[in-house]
Amino acid sequence: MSSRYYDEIDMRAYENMKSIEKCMKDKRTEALRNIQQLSFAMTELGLYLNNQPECERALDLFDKVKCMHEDARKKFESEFGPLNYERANTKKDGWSWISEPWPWEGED
Amino acid sequence: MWTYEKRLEYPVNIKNPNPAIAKFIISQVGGPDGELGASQRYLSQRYAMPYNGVIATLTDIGTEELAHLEMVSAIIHQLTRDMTIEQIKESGFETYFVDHTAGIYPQAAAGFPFNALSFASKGDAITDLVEDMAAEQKARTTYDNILRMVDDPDVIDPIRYLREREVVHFQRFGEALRNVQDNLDRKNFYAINPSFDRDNIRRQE
Repeated sequence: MSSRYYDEIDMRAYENMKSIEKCMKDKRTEALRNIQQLSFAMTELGLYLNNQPECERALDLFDKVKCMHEDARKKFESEFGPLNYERANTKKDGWSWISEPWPWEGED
Repeated sequence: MWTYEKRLEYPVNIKNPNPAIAKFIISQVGGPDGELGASQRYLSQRYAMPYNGVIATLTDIGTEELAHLEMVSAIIHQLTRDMTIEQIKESGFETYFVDHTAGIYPQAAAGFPFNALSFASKGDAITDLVEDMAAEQKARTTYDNILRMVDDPDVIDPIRYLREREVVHFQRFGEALRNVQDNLDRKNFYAINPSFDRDNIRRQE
């Protein structure tokens, strides 16, 4: 918001509003990081298992990470919308697939 | 971010090898109107699109084109597995075989390799969407030409499916173009680039 038009107004209320918005974005970014980390762990374990498919330790770890990833995704998507349109909740959100943010625009 | 699903979008089950038709169907892998160029065209264009519905359309159609690349590659693979050296020589497939054996390589029917010039990304919403509509029609024409020269029902079936998807994508891009034009500033009747000249657009809320 440009202060040009609001020189006379006490801006503290707006600053507070901005921080709520910022807080939501932080929450989203944090939830997304969780998914990115767990998904990356699955990628790494999957690549390893392709060549060592009998490794018990890697298999156990994969199962563990898979469950954590599924939970993290469910939590993220119920709050911030679908990461994949097969998981869109149209009853709750309508066609939120076209909602921002797009991943290539960067994070605040 | 992409993930892979271990299935085809539509089944491909070809019983008889036929390198003679693989020789020209390969154009829909790496030719000027092929699926590789289509996927990269749409996915590259997304970044300059000013409207969310159009970004989603390019994302989803670009992704579907990757599935089509896999389908056409599966067609080539099944047409060229178990072929004999006699079949290779009789069919004229030896010019491909000598360089790629029975591997999948993105090239046009005339033999030249995939050229990035065939996918256009101009950074202008109207230019790009008009390009995309033309691209879908060019791919549809190519599938029509393939259908004129193929008589194996195992090949005709998935090619007909792919042809139909070109028609549907053309329709969806037409709607996307209409939405972009509806959102242009009414003073912008020369349709100056709404991707770059941001004063000329009204964002969809």
